[in-house]
Amino acid sequence: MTAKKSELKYTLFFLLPSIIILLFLSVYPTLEAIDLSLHNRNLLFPWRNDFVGADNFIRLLSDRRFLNSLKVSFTYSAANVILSISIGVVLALFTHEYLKGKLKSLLSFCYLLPFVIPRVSTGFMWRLMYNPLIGIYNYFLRLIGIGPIDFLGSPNLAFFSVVIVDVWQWCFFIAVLLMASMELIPREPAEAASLDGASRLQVFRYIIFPFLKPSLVLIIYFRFIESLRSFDIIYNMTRGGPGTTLEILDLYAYTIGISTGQEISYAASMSLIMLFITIVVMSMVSKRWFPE
Amino acid sequence: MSEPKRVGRRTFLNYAIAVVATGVIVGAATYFAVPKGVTTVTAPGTTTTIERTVTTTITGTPTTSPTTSTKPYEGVKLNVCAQPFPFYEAMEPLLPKFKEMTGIDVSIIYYPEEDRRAKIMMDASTGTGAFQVYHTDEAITPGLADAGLLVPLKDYYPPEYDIDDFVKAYIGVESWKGVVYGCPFRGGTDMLYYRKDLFEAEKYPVPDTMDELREAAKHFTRPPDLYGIALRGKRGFGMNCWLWQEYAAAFGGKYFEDTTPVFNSPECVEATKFYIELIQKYSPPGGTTYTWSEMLDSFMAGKVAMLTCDWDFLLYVEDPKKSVVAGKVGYAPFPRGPAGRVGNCGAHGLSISAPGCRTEKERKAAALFIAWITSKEMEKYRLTTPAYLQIARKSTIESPEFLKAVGPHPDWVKALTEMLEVASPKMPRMSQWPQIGDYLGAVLEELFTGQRTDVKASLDEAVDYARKVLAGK
Repeated sequence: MTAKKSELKYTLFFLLPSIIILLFLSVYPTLEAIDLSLHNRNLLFPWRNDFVGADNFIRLLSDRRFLNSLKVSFTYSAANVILSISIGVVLALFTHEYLKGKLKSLLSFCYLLPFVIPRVSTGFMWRLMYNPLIGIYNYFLRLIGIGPIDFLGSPNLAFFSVVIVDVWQWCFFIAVLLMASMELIPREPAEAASLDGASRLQVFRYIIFPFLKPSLVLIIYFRFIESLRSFDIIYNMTRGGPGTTLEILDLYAYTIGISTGQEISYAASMSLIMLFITIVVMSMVSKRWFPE
Repeated sequence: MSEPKRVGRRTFLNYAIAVVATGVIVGAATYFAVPKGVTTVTAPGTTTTIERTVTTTITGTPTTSPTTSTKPYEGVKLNVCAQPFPFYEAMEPLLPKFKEMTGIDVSIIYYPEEDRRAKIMMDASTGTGAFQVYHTDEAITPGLADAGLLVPLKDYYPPEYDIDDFVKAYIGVESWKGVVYGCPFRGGTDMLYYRKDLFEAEKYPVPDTMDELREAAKHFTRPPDLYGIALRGKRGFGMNCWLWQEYAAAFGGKYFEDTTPVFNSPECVEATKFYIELIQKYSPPGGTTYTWSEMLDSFMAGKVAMLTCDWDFLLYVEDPKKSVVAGKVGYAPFPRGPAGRVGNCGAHGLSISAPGCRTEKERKAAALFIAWITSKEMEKYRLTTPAYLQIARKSTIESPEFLKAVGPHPDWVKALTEMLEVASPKMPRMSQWPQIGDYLGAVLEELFTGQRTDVKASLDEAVDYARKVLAGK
């Protein structure tokens, strides 16, 4: 009994620093954001700070651009997660199965390259490559007599053009992560299964996939959250355009709260909705995949 | 008994490295020791001019109070939040000289246009005050001034620099409710740039009306090598809203009637349809989302036959290093619309930040810096640099040196004189404008890219939004 008590004391003592840091860096700002969202602060009129209750949230419901940005945020993230993970899995399987030794490690190294390029540079680089007049893609398209295609200007194409950039940056890194987990899979069950006449697909579905599941869930997790805040790439490639095709929630909150409007309270209420939705989605995912 | 030292390979290598390193250090030291402002000026005799100009300007300043040392502002540091312009390129080399005279240490930090505006808004409204001097323009001056985030300039401006000499329209842009908040260093209006070589080769008349503009754009659209015209498409209260409004004004429309938004009037709808036709049919691919710099790039690359753009883009298009069309460009006034000849007017200037300059000393130093960098002498100096069009004083524009600096472009001077007579600021001067303009800009971009097709309904929607924003205040 006494041992347990002193243990608790020590535990608390050692946890205290991180609890304090968490309070200051995470809990306090969140409370402050909630407070902000219930007022009508506007940076252009610093003296105004009235309590308005849920006004900001009610206004959000009828805000066309907010609803649009919610839709964009989630389609963008979903497209990103699905594409980058499926391409990553295929790449990982291919590299793991067919390549060995030096070539494999060289390729794994190359896989990491897109990931280490800063995202702002990525945005600029791809914007240049997409350029209809001087970009490299249109140059090749012209050689075979197509184009010029305006990748970032036409509303239907722009969305996928930007998603491709995000997928390009992440799918190789995901492949590397998955390859690391594949190394740990024992070879025997797969070999036994193929001897028993299981097809490739069946081996993957019933033997490899269950081994990969924990790391896949983790990747889906942070890939989803990460692409909800793709501000950097989108801002540098199209500024949310054409029109509002790529205006994700971050970008809209930035526009309304900082760059053009100065309605910081309204922007704060948007961020809170975003936080709320992220938490809900995350807990749904973890319930579905980690029932224990 | 000392053995004669033999120079081994290793020792030799060490010596060699030492010699090379010394060479590099001495070379670098010489390079950095020579003031760049003096070395970069190539014209004979100019060197002395700069020295003299700076000296007279600074020492002739009575703000140097006689009781203190000759450097009254020793230790004052001014950060300027700026945007890359030839103006700064020309002036930056003189800053060490300015520091030597006044003790004021100026550093200029650059951001692209939209980022610069956002940065200033943030810095001022949160009270951070990391910048003491802001690069302000027609888009952000009203908002900042209205919230008391800029310092009234005349309270600190040394009178002998003659603030009344600036072009009235320009200093009007830098003022709010009759109070001057900034000194312009660049202002102007828009005009028509066209490829003189193409027009002359086919004896095609230079468009003077909107209809002729459309015909000419149609005529010169020959994809994929040449397109008729490039316009601003990218959303933004100072981006597509800027040029769109000029077309709307030519058709007789405007943004606000007093404080009532009226940019859904039949004239504006008509103008928007016209603009959409130009940008969708006769612009280069991607043209529906061009910023002004992309528009300019496509013209300088020889891909576009006409532009309607700022008067001082002459600087870029006539620069043979950057532009393949240098020497092949003609200039004409902005085409007339059903409502006659109109011109937009804007100005960029420098203002004192209220949160950035908390002490009187800092404010005086900032005012002295602004006065100096926009002074008559400095404008005369800029006429000898590639920034010769970034000037804003009547005395400079009327001077013979200006005509000489502009060079063989009489059609440009003629167009400018004609435009300055009719030009007036078109951008709404209200603090809510950036927010309203951003919304309208997005709606316009959606119209240009074809995501929307109903012009009237779209403009109605933007007007509704504007009403809401205005009522919320």
